[in-house]
Amino acid sequence: MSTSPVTTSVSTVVGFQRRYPALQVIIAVALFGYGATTVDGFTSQSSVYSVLMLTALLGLASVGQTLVVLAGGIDFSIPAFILLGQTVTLQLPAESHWPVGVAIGLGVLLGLLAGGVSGWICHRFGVESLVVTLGMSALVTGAVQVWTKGYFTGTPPEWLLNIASAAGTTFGLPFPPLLAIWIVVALVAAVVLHRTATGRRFYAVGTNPRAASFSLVPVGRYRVWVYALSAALAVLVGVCLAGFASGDPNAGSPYLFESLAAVVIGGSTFGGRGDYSRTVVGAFVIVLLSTILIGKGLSESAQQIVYGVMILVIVGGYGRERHLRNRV
Amino acid sequence: MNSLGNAAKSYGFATGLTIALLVVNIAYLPQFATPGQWPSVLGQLAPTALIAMATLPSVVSGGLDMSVGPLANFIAILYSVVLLPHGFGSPWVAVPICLAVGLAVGAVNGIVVAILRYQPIVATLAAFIILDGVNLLLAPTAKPTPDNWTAHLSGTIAGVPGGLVLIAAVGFVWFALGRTAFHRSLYAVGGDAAAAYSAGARVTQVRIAAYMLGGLFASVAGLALTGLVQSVDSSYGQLYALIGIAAVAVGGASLRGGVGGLVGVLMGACAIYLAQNAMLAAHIDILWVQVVYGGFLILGVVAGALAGTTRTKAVVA
Repeated sequence: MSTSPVTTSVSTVVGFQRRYPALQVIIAVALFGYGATTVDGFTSQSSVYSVLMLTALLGLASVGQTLVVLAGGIDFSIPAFILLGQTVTLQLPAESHWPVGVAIGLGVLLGLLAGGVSGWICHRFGVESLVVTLGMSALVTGAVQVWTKGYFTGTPPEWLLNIASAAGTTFGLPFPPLLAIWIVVALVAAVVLHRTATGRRFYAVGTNPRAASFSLVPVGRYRVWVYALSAALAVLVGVCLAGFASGDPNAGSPYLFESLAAVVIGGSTFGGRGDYSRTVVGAFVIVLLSTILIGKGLSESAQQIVYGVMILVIVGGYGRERHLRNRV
Repeated sequence: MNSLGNAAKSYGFATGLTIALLVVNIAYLPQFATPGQWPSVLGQLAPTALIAMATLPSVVSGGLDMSVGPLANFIAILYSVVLLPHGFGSPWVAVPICLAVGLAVGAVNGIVVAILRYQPIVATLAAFIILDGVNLLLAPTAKPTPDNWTAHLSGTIAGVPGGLVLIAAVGFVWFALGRTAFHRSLYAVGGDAAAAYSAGARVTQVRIAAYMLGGLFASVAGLALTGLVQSVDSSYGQLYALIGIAAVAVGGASLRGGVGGLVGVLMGACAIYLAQNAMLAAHIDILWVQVVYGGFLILGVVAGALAGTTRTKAVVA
């Protein structure tokens, strides 16, 4: 039976969409165009920079979520580790006169450790990452609150303010350092995931852990590292947020769902296809969407409703499951 | 017989934990054991327990409904802000409306998951965000609800604790369905959807029904919430959403689907409620409560999984 030209071209388009986040990019560009034409001041320098900075923060907070989702899990502890990052940066230098660098180092170490414990528990006992990371989140948040009594005392150092500021400079160049860091992270993630043996083994662990372990991939070690990295990166986002939104202990909470939304809108699937560049596009879509909704003067409740509907509409284009009859 | 033995093992841990925590509670608060306290204790337990029970059907079907917490809060707000002020406050009018709305929202979730084939967590997270937005729209600020009959739900109805009546009503619906083919299809679909489909189970209908059942139970939880707090506050939804999932996991249900029962989930919810209550009774600093809660959650799910492992081995052997 020969296939008609129409079927062939349809399957080419579907295959292309499966390999590259084409629809996602089109949506992001369309959102930008819509914002530029209907919201006053959308294309002003300050507005563009604020979109870029917010996207960079969301993007960095979603690196770990992307890895965890590709490994077949879900990380609900990101806000807790962001809080930990904010706390060590502001509290330790102010209260115990620690050098900021050492304080941040300790925070990252604690993040690696606590995240690794989450990953190990998920792997060793075969339990749901959703519940384990939720528990770890309560544990870390609670411990930080016991320590700080719920508010921060310190102020961020000068260099950190530079990193987190849209007017900051990178090695003397007028380019926001946060953006530079994000670009480097995105490039490293792309190279490691697609061009190294580590990346290939990582995908094997996510797609079929049994097959991976028969191929002598240390599945447990990969899982522990994925959760550890996710936590450590969230701590670093917290360090940046300490400079960006200095004293707000709740600055990390929106990232609980937004990091997941960025991954899902990007089109990565649980334990399967996807990569970090998709999440980058997803982060742009989310920040552009919320900037437009705010620019339109919608109330917080209306913003939330439209936001929820838009997630469904956008993901509906590509993020759905196969029909059961095609899975038998 | 075999399935009964399996079920007993899957919630044995949560039951043991509940009994131990009950002893701790009574040791710290002797009045906890006096019958006069039971209506208020059950009234406090009811929203947590009912939201956990509302999470169960979707989890057993192999999905997950994140939106039952905000849905319960939506029902509570619907009653206090819309129905009561417009003269629809009487139980004979309000209860059917609330149950119908719960069923309808559940049906929408089910259709989005089963027919439109969204991943359950994505679909119900979107529902979570939308419902939370609607709640914020209807109740921008927290305010008390005028006097109404729902106060009995956290007190007594004809001498019976109101919380017990609601939990028993939901339990009755679940166990009545346990006598039907739907119940078996639900577990089959959750265990292996493709196999169930090949065997002729109506997977799509079963899944939609699971989410509808969750929505129905969530609306009962909303009534229990109104009865308990007698106020509206858009933040309750998020608070209860995650507790529901935690209770389901501690109660021995698997988020992979096909495993879990109502008694286990109820025990999981009791254990979480009693743990929080015991910490308050023991005058543990409120800041420490979250630390203990987090540790409890991790230990609970690990212990539940260990109990589950022995079960799987026993079946294989």
